[in-house]
Amino acid sequence: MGKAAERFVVEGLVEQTPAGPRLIGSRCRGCGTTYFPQKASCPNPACTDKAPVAALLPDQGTLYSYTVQRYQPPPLFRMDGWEPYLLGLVDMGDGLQVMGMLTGVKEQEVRIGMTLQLVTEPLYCDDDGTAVLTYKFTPAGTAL
Amino acid sequence: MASGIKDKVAIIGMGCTRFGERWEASAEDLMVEAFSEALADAGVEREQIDAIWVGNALDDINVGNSSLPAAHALRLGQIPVTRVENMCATGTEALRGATYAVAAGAADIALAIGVEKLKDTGYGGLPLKTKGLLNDLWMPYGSAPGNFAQLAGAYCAKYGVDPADLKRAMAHVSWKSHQNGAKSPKAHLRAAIDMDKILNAPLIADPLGLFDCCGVSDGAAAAIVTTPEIARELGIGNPVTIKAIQLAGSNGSEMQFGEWDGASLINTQIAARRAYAEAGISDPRADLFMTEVHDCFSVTELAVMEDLGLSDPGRAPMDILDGRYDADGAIPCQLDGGLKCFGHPVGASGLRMAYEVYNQLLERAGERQRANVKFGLTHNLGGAPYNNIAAVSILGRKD
Ligand SMILES: [Zn+2]
Repeated sequence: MGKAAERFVVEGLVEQTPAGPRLIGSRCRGCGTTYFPQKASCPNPACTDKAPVAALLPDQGTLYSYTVQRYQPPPLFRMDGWEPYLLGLVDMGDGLQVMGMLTGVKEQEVRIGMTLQLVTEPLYCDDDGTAVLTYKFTPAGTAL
Repeated sequence: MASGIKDKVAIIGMGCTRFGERWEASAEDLMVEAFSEALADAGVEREQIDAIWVGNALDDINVGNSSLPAAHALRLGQIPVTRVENMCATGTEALRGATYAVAAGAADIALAIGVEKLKDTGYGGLPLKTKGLLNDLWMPYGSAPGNFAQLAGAYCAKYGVDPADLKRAMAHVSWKSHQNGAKSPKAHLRAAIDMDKILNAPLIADPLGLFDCCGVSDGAAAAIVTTPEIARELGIGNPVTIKAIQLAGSNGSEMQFGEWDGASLINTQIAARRAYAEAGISDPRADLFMTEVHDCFSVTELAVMEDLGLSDPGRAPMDILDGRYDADGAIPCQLDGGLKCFGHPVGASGLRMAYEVYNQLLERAGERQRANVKFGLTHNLGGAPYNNIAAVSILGRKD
């Protein structure tokens, strides 16, 4: 990591730590709610101290639901060598759910409730040759 | 709670174009078609319209920004014109604006009109409107079918439903709507479809197959509203009145600080509860005679039957398979064929739903007419299951 020829699809999404990638969310110091992506202010109406600070999310979550996206979504979506992909709703704990693509698993092997590990993978190669990465989830224990 | 708008506003005229691939008609043509029918139905002249609300969600290409395209097309005087946009709830939002103007006494007669012309926007689903980080992240990966499909897995997990049983219930939803749509002259897709064909159709986003997804269409629909008193002066003694229009919008609770099961639509529950209270309906299962709901996907309609309180939690698949929501069932859903057969010209859909309820209340629904319809409900859902706007309206007769 850290090579100039890589970037994430959106800035401020993922931090590469020595122990692997982590999603960058926000945690509200007022009500404790965790948000992803980052929030400038906490929208929880019950919260009086709206002060989210950046926080790394757990690197694992639990699969809540999933589908196979079988047609190519419209731009801004971009993906080299497009083919249908698994898409899941992942419970990250503390009431936070994150949607993301699943990788390293076949449709027949996917089970709701399975533990998933956060990974990053290239989505496409930009016009200037930069590899554009996104976050994905893969069954825990199988990540490289 | 505020006293609400029950019976303060009457619908005295409605119009709806044929929905479909309207290559031959501009957005202006579609608006004129719906407006002309509504004017003739109401028996008023265009000069009597005091203000208009035009709903258009996505289609800046054919309709254009602001309310001016409508003002020009409908040849209105320099009256107040307003464009509203609230995703898939846009049509009902236009009706809500016109209704509130009349209820407030700001207008005697107001027009709500919704229009969308999507077939030539260059994309098969809905064109994507980005709003920065959130959509960059999620919507491009998910797409509408990808987002709604995940209701199915979460529903099966929550209630221990066999996915094959859910798939059959979803297929029944679409089968039923196609049965009804075949009798709807203004529907886009007017063919009855076999269960086998629905069950075996190519998958779009598992478990949603082709026939679990609604179409994309061009169309417009319009409503002319006034007070019941003015309606009476115009010779309409017992008009259709608006019993309730309620909206609820996500604030981020679903995926973040609330409790969400991924298998239901929280804002639909909230908007329905408010609408029942506004309309004075204590038991929707007994009091509602029909519903037109947001069946963008079959699984959405299935979940909505529970969120509207018409099926017990976990029971919607059985109720659907029992025919409870069929045209001859206890509470028919999509008597006109729904989004499934009309497609979804976003700004027009809410008013198209109201058009069917209106015609059922006035016993003008032809082959699709149900006996003794006293109250009907419309429901729109804009966005995705985890982040959306729900609109629920209830129509009935004044007396
Ligand atoms: Zn907070």
